[in-house]
Amino acid sequence: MNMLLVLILTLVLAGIQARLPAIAGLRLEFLPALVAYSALTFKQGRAILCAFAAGCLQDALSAGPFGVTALAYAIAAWVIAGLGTVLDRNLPFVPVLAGSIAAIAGAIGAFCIIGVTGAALLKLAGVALIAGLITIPVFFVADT
Amino acid sequence: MGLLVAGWIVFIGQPTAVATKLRMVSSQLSTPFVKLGDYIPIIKSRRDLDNQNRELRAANDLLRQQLRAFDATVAENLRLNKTFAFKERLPYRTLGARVIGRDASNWYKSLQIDRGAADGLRPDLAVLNADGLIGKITAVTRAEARVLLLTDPSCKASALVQSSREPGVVAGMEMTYVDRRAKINPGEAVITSGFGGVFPKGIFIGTIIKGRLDPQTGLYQTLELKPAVNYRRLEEVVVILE
Repeated sequence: MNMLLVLILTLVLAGIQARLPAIAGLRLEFLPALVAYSALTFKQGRAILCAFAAGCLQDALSAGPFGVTALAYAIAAWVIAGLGTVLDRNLPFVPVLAGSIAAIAGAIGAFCIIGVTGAALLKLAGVALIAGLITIPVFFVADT
Repeated sequence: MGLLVAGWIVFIGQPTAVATKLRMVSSQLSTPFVKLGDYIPIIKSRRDLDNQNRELRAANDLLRQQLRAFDATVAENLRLNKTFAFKERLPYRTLGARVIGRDASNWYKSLQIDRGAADGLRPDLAVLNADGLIGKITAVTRAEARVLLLTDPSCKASALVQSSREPGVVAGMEMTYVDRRAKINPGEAVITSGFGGVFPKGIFIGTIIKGRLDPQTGLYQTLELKPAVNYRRLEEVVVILE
């Protein structure tokens, strides 16, 4: 899938994400999966650009300060793209790990604003796990 | 005779040219009798009943759908009536709005409403409904606004315990900075104090679940609150403009 299509998919999924209800306090996040996909598919510069755009969308649809998630996702894309040079993208655990890394990066950005509590760390574990699992169908759809 | 019929059935089931021709001939032969069935009252009435049954089932499905839509409309009407009656009772200039989105992130608690700067909204306006305080507006575009919910730790409201008038600050559904000597009873109501300039005085926030001494300083009590509003089911809200 080319970069433009990934950006369009990002736009669509961000809109859907904002309208999904939270289950047990956890909301499905598609954008970390797209950050992971970009980082493991495109060249580093393009991946960072896609991740930054995804973060900007997330910030626009959230009460957090604008730009925090964009920066966090951009850094995550940079890290994942670096890992992608030594890891095989086709191994199932690699996209899952990449999705979790992107979700954790977004959470760290939020923690800088809201602070860290025990409950927030527990929630982070759930968010990272769900983001990792969502990465598998997102990669499947984006690859086909 | 039975063997003959059975043989005939087996024979016409075979895909041979002879069988195909026989099947056509048999079919043509039986056609007048099928037509004849239309003139026999008992068969005709059965067909009519079948048709009528199909039509009634379709009508029933349609009516069920309409009933579901009607139920949803009645529920919405009740909600809107409640919101409107509440809006009329408030001694402020207010504006009703619909919730059109939730926060896209897992880390902040906010709502998106369908009114914006074009309707006179601006940051730091209080948002509530008939049940109690919901939060405040933090960002506004021309046609939409974002409401930071009181359950978000960064949304703070100056508050009072209604009966004892003990002051404190509510953030993330915890009331902090309550005097350590204050006697607190679970179930007591907490309302806004009117200090701070964002939330008007006397808006219901929630009820006290339990209190504990601040573990770090031991100087204050922190009260855990049960919110008055069901934040997950918000559909309409009221914004206080003045």
